[in-house]
Amino acid sequence: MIRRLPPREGEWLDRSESFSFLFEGEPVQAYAGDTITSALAASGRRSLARSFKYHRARGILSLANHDANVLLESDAATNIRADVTAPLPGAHYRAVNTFGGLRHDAGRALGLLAPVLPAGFYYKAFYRPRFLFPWWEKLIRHAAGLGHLPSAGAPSRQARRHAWCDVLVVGAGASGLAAAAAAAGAGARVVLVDEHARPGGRLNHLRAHEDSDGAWRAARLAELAAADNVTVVSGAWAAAFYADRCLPLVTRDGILLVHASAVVLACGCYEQPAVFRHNDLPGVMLAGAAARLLRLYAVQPCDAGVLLAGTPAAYHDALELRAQGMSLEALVDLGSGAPPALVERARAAGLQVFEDAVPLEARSRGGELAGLAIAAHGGRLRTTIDCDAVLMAVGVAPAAGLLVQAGGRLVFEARLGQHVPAALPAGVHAAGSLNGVHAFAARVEDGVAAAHAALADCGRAVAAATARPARAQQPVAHAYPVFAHPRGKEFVDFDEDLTLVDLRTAVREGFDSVELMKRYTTIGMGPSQGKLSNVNGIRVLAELTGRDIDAVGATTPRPFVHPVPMAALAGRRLRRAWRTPLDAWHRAHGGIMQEAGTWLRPRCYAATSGQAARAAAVAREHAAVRSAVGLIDVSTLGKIEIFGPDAVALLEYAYPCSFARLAQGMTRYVFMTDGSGTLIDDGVCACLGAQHYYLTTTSGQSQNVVRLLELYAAELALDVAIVERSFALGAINLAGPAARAVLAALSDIDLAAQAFPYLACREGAVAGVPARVMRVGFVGELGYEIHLPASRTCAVWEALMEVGSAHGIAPFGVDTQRLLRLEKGHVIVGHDTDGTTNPFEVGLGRAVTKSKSRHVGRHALGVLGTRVTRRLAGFVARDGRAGDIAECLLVIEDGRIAGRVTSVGASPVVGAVVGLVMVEEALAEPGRRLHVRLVDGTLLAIEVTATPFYDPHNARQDAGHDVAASTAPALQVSAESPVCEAYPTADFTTVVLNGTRLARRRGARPAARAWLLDLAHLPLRLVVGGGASAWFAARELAVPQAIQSARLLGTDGLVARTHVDEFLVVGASRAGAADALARATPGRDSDVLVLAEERAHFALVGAAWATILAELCAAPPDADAAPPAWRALRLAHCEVALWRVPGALPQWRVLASPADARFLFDTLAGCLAEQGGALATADELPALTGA
Amino acid sequence: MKYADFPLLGRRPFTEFSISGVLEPEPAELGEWSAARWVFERSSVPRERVEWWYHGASRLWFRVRRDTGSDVILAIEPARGGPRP
Repeated sequence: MIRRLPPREGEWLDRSESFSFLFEGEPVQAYAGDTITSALAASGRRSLARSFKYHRARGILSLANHDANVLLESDAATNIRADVTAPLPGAHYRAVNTFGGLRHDAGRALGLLAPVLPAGFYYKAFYRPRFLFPWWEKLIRHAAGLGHLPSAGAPSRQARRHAWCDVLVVGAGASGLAAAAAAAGAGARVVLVDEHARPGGRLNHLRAHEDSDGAWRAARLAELAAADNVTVVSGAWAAAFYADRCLPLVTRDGILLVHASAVVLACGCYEQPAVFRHNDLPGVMLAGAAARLLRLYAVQPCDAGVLLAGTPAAYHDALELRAQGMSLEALVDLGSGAPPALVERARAAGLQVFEDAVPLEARSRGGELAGLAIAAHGGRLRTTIDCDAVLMAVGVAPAAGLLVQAGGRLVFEARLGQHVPAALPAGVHAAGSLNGVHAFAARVEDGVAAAHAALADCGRAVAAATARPARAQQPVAHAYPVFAHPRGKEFVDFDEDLTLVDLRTAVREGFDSVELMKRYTTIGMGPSQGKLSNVNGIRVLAELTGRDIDAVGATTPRPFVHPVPMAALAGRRLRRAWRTPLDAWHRAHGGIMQEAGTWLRPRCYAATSGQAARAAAVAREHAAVRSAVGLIDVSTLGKIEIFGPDAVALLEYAYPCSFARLAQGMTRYVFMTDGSGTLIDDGVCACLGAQHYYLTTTSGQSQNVVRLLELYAAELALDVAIVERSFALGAINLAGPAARAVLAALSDIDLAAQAFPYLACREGAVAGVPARVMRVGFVGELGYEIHLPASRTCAVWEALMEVGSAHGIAPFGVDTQRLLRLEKGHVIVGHDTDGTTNPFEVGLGRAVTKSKSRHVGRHALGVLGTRVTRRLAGFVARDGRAGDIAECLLVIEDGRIAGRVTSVGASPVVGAVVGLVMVEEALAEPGRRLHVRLVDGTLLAIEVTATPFYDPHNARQDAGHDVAASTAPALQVSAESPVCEAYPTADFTTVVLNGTRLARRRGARPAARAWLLDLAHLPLRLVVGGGASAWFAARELAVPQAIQSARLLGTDGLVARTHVDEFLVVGASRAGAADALARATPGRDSDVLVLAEERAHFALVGAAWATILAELCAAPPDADAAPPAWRALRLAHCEVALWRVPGALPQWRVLASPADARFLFDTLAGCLAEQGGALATADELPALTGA
Repeated sequence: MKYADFPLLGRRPFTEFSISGVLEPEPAELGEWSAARWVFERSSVPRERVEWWYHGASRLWFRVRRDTGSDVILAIEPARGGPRP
């Protein structure tokens, strides 16, 4: 039967567009503007889904997404909220959780078992025997529940954006519209959010005699639409209230995280159901649902309807619905307290009124509502009213979840029958029916007053504080709309199929506090989060325990007040990985890449990633290093310059080692502990000058060491600059007997053993590139660690490979390096050590100086050095199963754990498996037999051995022949942009600009609304030290005074003061003074250090970038600050500097670490494509910006 | 999401910082304190205290005076690089 009415004023349908979809295999007609449920109701269907536990037929309850009666699934999605979801033409929707379809659901049989399935039945019935519980659990989970995830379809992710405003108004009913209009009128930036498809709240469907022609609502909406300082977000819900007034608005397109200076909560109330026998039959619905059907979707809800009136307002609803053409025949007054005149008006309008009545039960025919049995006139009349709809109008309860999360407190106002706010935190205001204000004029007045209070919070002048209107004087909810029946089935929670008997059982068994009852019965824990069940649950609990409503209290409404799709929570996938300058080379040459902390590093170079191929590759690479020469990318090492008068003081405090005898041009091994004496990092420190040191750290600790050095400099008020160079410099370790010969062919540094001894550090050119070279012996061969600019690291690597080919050079990966250093007995901090290891346990005790009066960890190390209980020792295993020894296996002696394996590998030079074990001190003597417990439990014998396993006297450092310095002409090596490869080769080629290779467009530029450009060719300089200001003054440039501020230079250049004594100069895209400054020759003076800096440099051109930055950056936008508005911040998890270039088009610039460059560029480009933007190249900048 | 107004930086989300609690430089002498107590003993009593917060993007440390009872920030100052003398 078609229940659709002719077109009505105010309906949400677009009748010009109609289509059909399938429901349970049958076609259903719909108009644009319909929801799935409204279209199903228009087709005459009342049973739309099955319930969670007993598989009872369910239909419309609120039609406002406040219940979860009608959850559907399609081929693409599940748990679809049919009440508010527009049907897709041709889609096939089915009810969730049925066995054999909605109509013939075999699960109905569970209803017969209801007496033995009370709340929590499975804990009582199936706990014994315990081994069967998993089986029962699976069965129960299968029988009860919600939808299944569709296997088809790609996983979806949505963007999560930040938005900033002065006043956020939640709820667009009368008070919300009034508040938003008042705040907007005062010039505040306003966001108005409403859960329904269109703003208006109750005024859309149940206006009573208020705003009867909708003129007020229409006027406010027009006002808001015309204002450019208002954003109206419809069809979205504010899901939580977080600290600092941050509210996630869950929209169809993802989460909008709104940060507001003040919040007006005009969330309104949820209409509440009555509790009586069979109150869940399809056809029993909230009065609001019937009103929505009629007025928004032009559907006649019934042929003969009955309204349960619990409040005087229900009479107004009934009169209005009847006047609007609803076939409402009878009104059952449950003791509403309506004045006699109102009762007479209802009778005069043709309604049959039963006074002083109670509902006994809803009667069904074919599983759907057919009548309502009542007792009226104080029980003197018992009758059954034939009807096909029961409209519940027994009262409302406030939507107070956000208010409580904000820190507000509620009290129950008995006269009103409603919880009202008793205390609110600063910056939060409640208005409208949430505030207990119900009459239309009062709601409007309350909204305006709340807006004025919110404006005052934002520091906006308000003429005078507006008085709040008085709260309603008559009850807005029936005191106890609960009507028990001897045969039960009075549903309190429709989500979880909970009836009065379940609540009674909970109380009887002692779960009589509101929080305990919730957990025992799961009331309010279903998908509608108790919107329609919590208040009735509290009423029942109060009644059963003889307490009043306030004494019972309420459960805590935690985030989220409404379920949020996982896709919205997940947001965009932003998994950052640092790439070295050699990343592309590794991939092109068979590097088996793996994550090492944030870095991606090659394990080895092999044709396939299988274990056998890797083992063969490691053996080959190992042989090359031991017998010829190999090279490894060690760009991941942390690299830090320390410069200033207090440089030594900082090092002496930060490290337990002594720097007193570290001569200029030499390095020493250093290790760092924390205050508890735990080893946290190690590396090499080179002395480059009287107050200039160069430090390396382990790959994983570079950021932490910078952080700690900055901390110590601040704590001790030291005059020293700490310059982070980890990403600006690449590093290559060239090792093997032929290393000297290979390097000599490319370098002007004198490599003779006398001139460049072990542990020395020299500066010079390698393949024409300025480099710092240190003689280190980590892998146990003659070796040079070459530190050089990141942009030219790959070119130098390739030059070394070419020169080395005559010597049998091979690149080696991390796996090979680990084996090489293991043979040498070298410890890897963080691998052989953990968060409890101190230097004395790993053989570094002798390097802990006792001569210093003060350094980090001194007191702890003083104690630890006297009581060493375990030690890292070497071992050899020659057993046939020695290959099964793995890291972290335990050493077992006398049946107890005596230690663990920290490193292990098959050593070709020893001809056996060797490794390191952290064992009890007494067991760490060479020659001692220990036992390692293998994975299968077998105890395998190993023998403790002295380390190193290889070259104990460091003779290999003297290997190779002395050679003369290179006389070959320097190579012309061009720098390379870290994102060259990110430009698609179909549209772009490369070009060398200012000595830097970057992308260039092949054809014509496409049309786009925003652009992303790589500006790697613009020079950067760091000017460091106490003499930096003077350095700039000598070049007639006044520098910014405040740290983290900047000044524009030339067309689009910039000088920024990035730290206490650190300035960054960014070259301009057009030659001029700025550009010349950024090309200043790097070098060192007594108090100033000029360094060639390397960072990824992108231009973001076009207004669309504001949207993208609002997604990727949690810091507030800088629109109000004058350019350049320099800021160091976090963008897509990367630490960057962001600033603006003035011009015709909005333009931002980003400086990022070269290691982050590719990830950041790809992320920005991906976001840009969604916004209709495109990539562009450096040479297009003038054309794009009109400069 | 929590935010605060930082000197030198402006309004920033807490997520940009790593927060290290109360820190003190290692003293040359410990006085009556034993090494173990100095290393390990920390008070968690809710109170007003000065915490050290590190902003990774700018490599700046801040001293943040915060009441851990009410979680209200009372003052923030940069640990280095205030106005130059």
